[in-house]
Amino acid sequence: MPKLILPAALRRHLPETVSEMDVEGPTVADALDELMLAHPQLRPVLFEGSELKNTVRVFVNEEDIRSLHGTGTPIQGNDEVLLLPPIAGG
Amino acid sequence: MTSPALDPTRYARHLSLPGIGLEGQERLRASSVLIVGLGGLGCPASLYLAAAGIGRLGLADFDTIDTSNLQRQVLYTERDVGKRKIDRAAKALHVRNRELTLDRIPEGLTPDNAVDLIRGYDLVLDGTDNFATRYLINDAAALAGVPVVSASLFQFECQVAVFAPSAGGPCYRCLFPDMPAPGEVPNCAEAGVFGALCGVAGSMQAMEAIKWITGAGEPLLGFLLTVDALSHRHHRVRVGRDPGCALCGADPTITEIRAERYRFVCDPFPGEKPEIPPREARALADALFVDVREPWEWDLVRLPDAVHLPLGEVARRKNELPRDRPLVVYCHAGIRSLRAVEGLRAAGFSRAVSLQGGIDRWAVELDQNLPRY
Repeated sequence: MPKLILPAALRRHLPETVSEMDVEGPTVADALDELMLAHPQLRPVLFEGSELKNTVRVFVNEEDIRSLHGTGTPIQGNDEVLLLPPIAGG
Repeated sequence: MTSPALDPTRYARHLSLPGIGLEGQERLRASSVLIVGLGGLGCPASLYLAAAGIGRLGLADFDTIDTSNLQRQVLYTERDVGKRKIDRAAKALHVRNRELTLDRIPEGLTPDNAVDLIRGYDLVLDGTDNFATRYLINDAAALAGVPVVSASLFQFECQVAVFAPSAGGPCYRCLFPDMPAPGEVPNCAEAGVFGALCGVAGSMQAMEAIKWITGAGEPLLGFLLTVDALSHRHHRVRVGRDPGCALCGADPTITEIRAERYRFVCDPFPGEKPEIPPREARALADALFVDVREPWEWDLVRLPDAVHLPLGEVARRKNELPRDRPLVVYCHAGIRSLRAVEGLRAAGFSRAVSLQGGIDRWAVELDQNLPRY
């Protein structure tokens, strides 16, 4: 089953133990829908209207979905979907 | 003038390394690196670069050492508190390698000096703690044609990458085109940072710099590495060059450094602010104090009779707040609370005001018994 990996910057909006989530797919958009259904409080963090914010990148395994098929990118098997927000601490 | 020969004993463990050797060591000595930010990342990075025999290090930081820095900023000692970081760092690095040339830049990196300053170095290490300076470094370095070894932290996670449009790679804007809005991502002071992870990320920066200079191995160019210290999950993802990038794309719109692009650090809310000084806030009849800090801060110290509503939950839980009373919203220093008030006013809480200077100023001016942090 594909897995959604949630970074620390998003985890602060989630219960403490949630750092990943199994998703069905079959596309990245479906996986994000599943995430919104389970944790609706993430919607304003990740979305602007119905569009994913430009300050969040999504990778399927190693690849940026912008270089694949955007949120229409298919996911299956052991695919890992990584959400990557910018962080600035140092 | 020819420089004296390298001390083969001192660098013996490099000289015997395939990929570095005498040639690589000579390259290190002939190279210069600008370190912007001498905090959690800049401390370990500069220590390893000094030890590795880099020729010249630029130290850019305007800050002084605070007690809360000692948990991770390993160049400084308890006696250094209150002193300038660049001075203490230069001293600590000099005693480790007397051949190292050190440039001190006490004003730090600014929109005025960025491009010229960066142009004087072979590489820049970004060890800053805010988005405005990160974008400034990225933009100025791309314009100057100098690669950036970047690392950033959030709690138990770090991201490390090399950005170098001049070498055919991406820049930071290819990955994240626009700076997040102020308050969208919490800073270290609010969120906390895992000290030992700074050592990992800063050492990785030194490592990538040494690899870049000596040509050893594959640089982290075109990739970004994320490390989650809690789970030890590491991800390496590909970062492509964006042909539409405003800085390094085919038709760039960022062709010079303009200060207004990098402003939010100084004043996220220009103009008149809906805020109130502590003394006036205390005198406000019937006011409800709303604490928007993180739970650990609330546990540490709070104002009497306050209610707790962390900033991240204000939008969702605002209707728990009364609309018929003045709301004095506070955080640690008065920045997050302004952001909360902005949202509350937009939602119709017209009597919401932010406590100027936060609980910290309250503790100084009104109640010395409150612990400060």
